[in-house]
Amino acid sequence: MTESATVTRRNFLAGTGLAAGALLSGSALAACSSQSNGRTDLQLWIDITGAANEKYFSTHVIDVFEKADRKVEVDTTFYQGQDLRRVIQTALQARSGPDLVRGASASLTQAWSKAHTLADLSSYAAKDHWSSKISSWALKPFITGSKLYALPMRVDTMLLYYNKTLFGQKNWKAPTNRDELEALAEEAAGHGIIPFGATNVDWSAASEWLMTVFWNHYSGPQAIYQALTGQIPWTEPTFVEAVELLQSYFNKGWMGGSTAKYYSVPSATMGAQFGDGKIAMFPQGEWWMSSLGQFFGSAAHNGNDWDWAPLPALQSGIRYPLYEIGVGGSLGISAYSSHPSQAAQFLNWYYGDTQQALQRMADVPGTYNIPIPFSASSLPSGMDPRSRRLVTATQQAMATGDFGYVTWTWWPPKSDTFVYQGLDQVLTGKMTAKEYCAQLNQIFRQEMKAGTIPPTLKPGRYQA
Amino acid sequence: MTGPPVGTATVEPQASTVADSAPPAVRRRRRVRPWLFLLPLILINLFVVIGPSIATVYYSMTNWTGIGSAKFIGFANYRRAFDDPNVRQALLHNLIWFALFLTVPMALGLFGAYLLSQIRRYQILFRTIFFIPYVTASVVNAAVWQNILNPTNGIGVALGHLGIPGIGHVSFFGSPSWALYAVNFVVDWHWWGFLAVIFLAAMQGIDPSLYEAARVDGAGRWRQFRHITIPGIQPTLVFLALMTIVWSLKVFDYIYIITNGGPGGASQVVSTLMYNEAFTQFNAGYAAAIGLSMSFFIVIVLIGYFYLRKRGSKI
Amino acid sequence: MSGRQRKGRLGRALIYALLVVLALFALGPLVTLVFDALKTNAAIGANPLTPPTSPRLSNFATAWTQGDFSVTMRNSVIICLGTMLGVCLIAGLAAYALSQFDLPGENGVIAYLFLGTALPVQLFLVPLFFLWTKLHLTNNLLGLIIIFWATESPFATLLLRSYLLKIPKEFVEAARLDGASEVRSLFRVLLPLAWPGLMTIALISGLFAWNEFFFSITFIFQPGLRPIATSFLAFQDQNSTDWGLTSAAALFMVVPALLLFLGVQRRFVSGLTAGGLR
Repeated sequence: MTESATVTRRNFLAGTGLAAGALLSGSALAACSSQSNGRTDLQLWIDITGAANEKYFSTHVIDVFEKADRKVEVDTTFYQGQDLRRVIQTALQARSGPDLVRGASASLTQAWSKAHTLADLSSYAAKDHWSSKISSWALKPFITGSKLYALPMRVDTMLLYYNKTLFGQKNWKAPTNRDELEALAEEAAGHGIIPFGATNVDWSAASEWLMTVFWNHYSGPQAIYQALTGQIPWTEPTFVEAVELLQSYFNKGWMGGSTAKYYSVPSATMGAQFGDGKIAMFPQGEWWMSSLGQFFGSAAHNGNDWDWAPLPALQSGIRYPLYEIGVGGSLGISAYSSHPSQAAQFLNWYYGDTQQALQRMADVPGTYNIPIPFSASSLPSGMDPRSRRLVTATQQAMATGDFGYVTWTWWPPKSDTFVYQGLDQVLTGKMTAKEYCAQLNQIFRQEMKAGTIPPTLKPGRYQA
Repeated sequence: MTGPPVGTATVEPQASTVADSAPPAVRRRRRVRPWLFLLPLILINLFVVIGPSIATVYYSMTNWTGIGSAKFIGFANYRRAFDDPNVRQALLHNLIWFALFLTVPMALGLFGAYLLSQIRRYQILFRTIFFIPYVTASVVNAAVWQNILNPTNGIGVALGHLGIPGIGHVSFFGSPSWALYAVNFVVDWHWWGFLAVIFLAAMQGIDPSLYEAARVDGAGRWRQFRHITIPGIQPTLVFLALMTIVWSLKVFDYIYIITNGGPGGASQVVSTLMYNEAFTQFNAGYAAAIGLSMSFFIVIVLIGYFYLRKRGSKI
Repeated sequence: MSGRQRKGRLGRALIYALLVVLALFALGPLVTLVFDALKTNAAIGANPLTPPTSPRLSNFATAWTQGDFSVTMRNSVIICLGTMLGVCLIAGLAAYALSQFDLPGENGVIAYLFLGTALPVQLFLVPLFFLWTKLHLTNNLLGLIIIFWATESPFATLLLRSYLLKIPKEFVEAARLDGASEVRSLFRVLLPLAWPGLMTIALISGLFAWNEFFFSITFIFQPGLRPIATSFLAFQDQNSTDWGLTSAAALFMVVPALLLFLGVQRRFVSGLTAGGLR
């Protein structure tokens, strides 16, 4: 008994010693000052996942910047999307967190700005002439009064991807209107092919992508603009009908194979089915272009290829092609950063070095499309033609005024959350389309009174 | 185990004599010392739990969005929680969860423990195997079961091919009617082995002569189980039942990882609702009110337990 | 063979059969992890649940480097050990106080501990992070460990107390009479008796610390300090799931936990046997 007592005491002390040593070294690391040998260390937390993507970001963004600006270092921590929001918000509330703040959506960024946790970028913008480096329409959601509180990180739009090889085999053409779309869907379903891929599993807000599509291509941008500015309510029949149309596609089993599959099949599996020709079309954001490739061709051991087309008009009178446009999140500076001017230097490089920016756009399709002005001829020659078409199409849409509004940029925060959470209730039969629109209207009106609606983009032409 | 002689009549009076003859300072030190032993626990608890709890109580009475400043609004959040259909639905789901979580793992655990108690060879091997799901992290278990139960080429589809009706097209985690039960199944699977090992140990503490007597009296396995085993492990059963009630209201991890309360709120429980309100809906004050109301329920349950204990029932 | 013997044989066979069914139920799903870790992605896509036809170890090597497991595993070992030691110390002292003395207000403390196991930790996230930032305990292994001490100690104290209640007070009294100081009596007499109980709470709190992800993700952001759960979660990329790599990563997380259990399981169960739960 004595023996075991001594042994345990020795183990105890040894264990404590080991643990204490490790803990102290851990604390020492944390206590390191953020300035070493004259270089400033900036913290960036970002939602880039996957080994290849992280590597690209580290080598082609961070390393390139650090070589260009030898006084600033950027330490990056990678997070999953759903965690990043919680983690940054928690840190900001504690007056700490990263220097460079990545906001997942415009409405979230606005909420953070309203709580005075984001630094005012107006002085840097003026000094470095950001208004000429960044498209003005993209800056609009991030301006309150005269303050600029974040920069737009990606031009978002919705596309209709389709299995080009399958379409070639069946002699199908990309649909331009609702009749063509539904005829195509019927025919595909008849062949046992799922007409549209869709899944909620990897991104719980996926339902708002679909709602964006249906509101823009059925109700139209004009109606949306009027609703966003409060001229008409969200209970207008056109909005309700759009929801019902979407619901009908789900009820027909056209979306993902069934409503239940929409909620349980991961996008990797659906992507694989899409690549194999078991799914015909996929309404998805332009960001999907970066991961789509793995499901086609030699990477996936099928001889198939993909392409994209603009989403069809779902009602007569709606323009085609029409691109609903938005901003995929933001990049800003924390109000609690101790190195805001160095952080601004990074931002200045990220948006200002056009050649690097275009190279990134070409290297990884659909990921680094920042809203900067460029001419089509300056795009790198090695760029995937489908990616090239995308960036020129969105730029053109803004120039000609044929654009719509995505919910995650132009809707206020609580309404935006309700758009997808409420739609989930509609799709699972807990709410009717009418009740959904009524509740959305109620929430929207409250936010209107509270003044949390982001500045709305007036219909018109916008030069990049 | 060797040790000093136990419980002789002379020890007690000697002890009290010694204690009485000690100077008041020593006596005071002796009274204080146990509280010193409690100090680390109390201090740590104060920092990590009490501090934030007070903040949470404060925030529950404000309109805090989760970031920025908060304005005092009294009990408005609590009144809102009382009327909120989402809260009611979440509580209902917790109730269903509790009913399943209390019965299924316990039944499996008791059954498994009983089987283990009847064998000697390989008992340790089986015991270890039963314990493995508990050892595995929730993130891993969730990923494994999502893979097994996926509606494209998972086990449901395989069974459907084998001819079992109805199951081939079920989307376990994606259909509103199955989601809550499917996640509960995964958690039950994770938990029953832990209970089995604990029950086995408790069963092994029962006096074997009781079983002998019962066998002589002609009692079969089931009667022995009901009248000797169950009462013999009653304290363990009650302790774990109590913890189960508490943990049923806290359940979060698996639901958050697998369905996040979906689809459409079909698997939403109070803790995921709270999380949603706090971090997605910008209603952090409201979330605090919901959380504290839930804790209040637990307090009621605990009061009931302690009242029964005081009344003398041996639990 | 007499009727009774035959009945005994059948009964025994049935018991073993049922045990095997339960074992398959418990182990089966995790065996698919092993299978899938040894397959290529194409093979998994075709058949996710069957044994590999041509097993290969490349997934393990790739997952190890991609997931930075050498760093995260080390961090998790530190967190795990720190948590176990702290919980054993804190809960050990507290359980000793609550079981060997008749403290006034003891019931209050016990009720408070039960309550401590009942509070929803997600709510504390923001205020606790705020406090931890002020104390410079964020982004710090020690800070995380202290949080785990606080979350695990209440239950550990209650569990350990039930073991210690079974130890007759006379043991400790007698040791005290021998002139031994309090601490001596603790170590010499009580510790060996309570050792299995300590092993139990060490195991439970160690497993918790090893597997935890929610607080770990929020409180630690320096990549070099992240625990093993983040390595695993990194493989669950929403855009592409390489299930082979994910399975290998999962095994990196499961096997050390299993080894920990195997290391203490004899003591763990003997502790449960001797003490029971009251």
